Amino acid sequence: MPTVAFMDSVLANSGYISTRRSRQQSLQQSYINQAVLREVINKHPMCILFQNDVRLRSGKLAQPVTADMGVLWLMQTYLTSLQSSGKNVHLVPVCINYERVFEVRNLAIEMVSGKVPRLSFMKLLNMLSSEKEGKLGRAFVNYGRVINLREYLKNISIPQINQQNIDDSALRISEKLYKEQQHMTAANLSHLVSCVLLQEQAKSVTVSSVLASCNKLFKFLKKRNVNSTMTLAATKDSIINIIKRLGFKLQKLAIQPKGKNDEMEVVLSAREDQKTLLSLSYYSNMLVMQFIMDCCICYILTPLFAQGKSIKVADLIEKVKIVYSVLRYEFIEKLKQRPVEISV
Amino acid sequence: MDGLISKASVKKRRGVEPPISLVSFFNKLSLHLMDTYLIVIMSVMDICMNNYEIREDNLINELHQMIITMHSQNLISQLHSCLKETIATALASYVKHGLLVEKRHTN
Repeated sequence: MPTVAFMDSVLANSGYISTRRSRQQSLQQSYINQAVLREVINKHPMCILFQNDVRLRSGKLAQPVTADMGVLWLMQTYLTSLQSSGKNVHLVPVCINYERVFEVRNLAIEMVSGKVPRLSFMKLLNMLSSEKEGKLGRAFVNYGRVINLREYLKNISIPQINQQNIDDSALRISEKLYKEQQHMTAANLSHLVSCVLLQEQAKSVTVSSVLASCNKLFKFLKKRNVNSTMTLAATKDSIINIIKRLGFKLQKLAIQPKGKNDEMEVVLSAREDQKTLLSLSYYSNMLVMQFIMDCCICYILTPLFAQGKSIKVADLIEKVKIVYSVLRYEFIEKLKQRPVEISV
Repeated sequence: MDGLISKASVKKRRGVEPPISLVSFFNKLSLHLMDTYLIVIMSVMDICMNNYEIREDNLINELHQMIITMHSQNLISQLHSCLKETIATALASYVKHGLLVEKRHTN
């Protein structure tokens, strides 16, 4: 979300402490933030920390190379006031996902410029009221496994935190939390439709074709046991709704197929708009992180298929390993599958 | 050739297009990453061959702008190859692989 000054002041009065988690902050600012967090945790056993200070611009999580500032402050608090008194910390990862970004235009600007736009509260209200019913989509709240900090540190061979290993342990915990976040990020029909529309090269595509492609992908998702909010195959109506919400126009096919008279096609001229393209790619990237290994395999196989060549499985594995090793910092390794997911 | 219509386009006009092929779908899904990584390594090779020293943020900005231009000229199929985050991760990845050396200067 862009920064809204009014919302910040309302949240501040309700006990929300907005701290700048950017690494560009000064040493003094960082020290003050850390001291505030230590005071809050000492007085209130339950405290909410936000892991990501800005939304993901590429739509996917990348391998962290430095610890999140919030986690680093937490570890410093643990080191300075909790560890010595034998106290423990339990982390409950909570992940909030949404189907669609309502201010897609801002997102597209943010993706290109890398800057978070500032919005006035009135403009935000105006944008919200201009959205038609259901266009905002659904939000999903998922709770991950509780992390017992002391136990977790023992498991990664860090029995005691000290000044030498604090950065490394904070990074390991940030990575663990990112893995949890990725695990709880579910694929939904908007992602599938966006990917299909983004990859379509023609000027228009029929709704039946989009539906068939989405259902083929849905079957694949189910086979691969990918975390998804979709429980049933897509219907034509659901596809039409999503296409409209993504900002594309629908029109009746000029030449109807045999036995039909209501076949529709999606006009893809909106795709020529860079902002629409970028918003589609945002959703598309969410799927990439679920299927990186499949993508690497298909990247190697596609030119071979085109030339009618074959490849030995052992050679394919070697090539996939090379491609994956190059791209590995773009993604976070997956957590093992769990049997039960709670979503609200 | 204008008067000729391919079988695929006739089928398409009749609304009987086949669904996407999974191999093609997954290939295109990550194509923007491959494009970015290839462009970054090509530019890095050029920099190394000419012994340039370039600030990382300048390089990222220039590559970002160049990819947008390449997309507008249809040299790159997907616009989101231009994301600065991906370019930065590609550079970091090459540093990790030992293809590049990162120097930090203080004022």
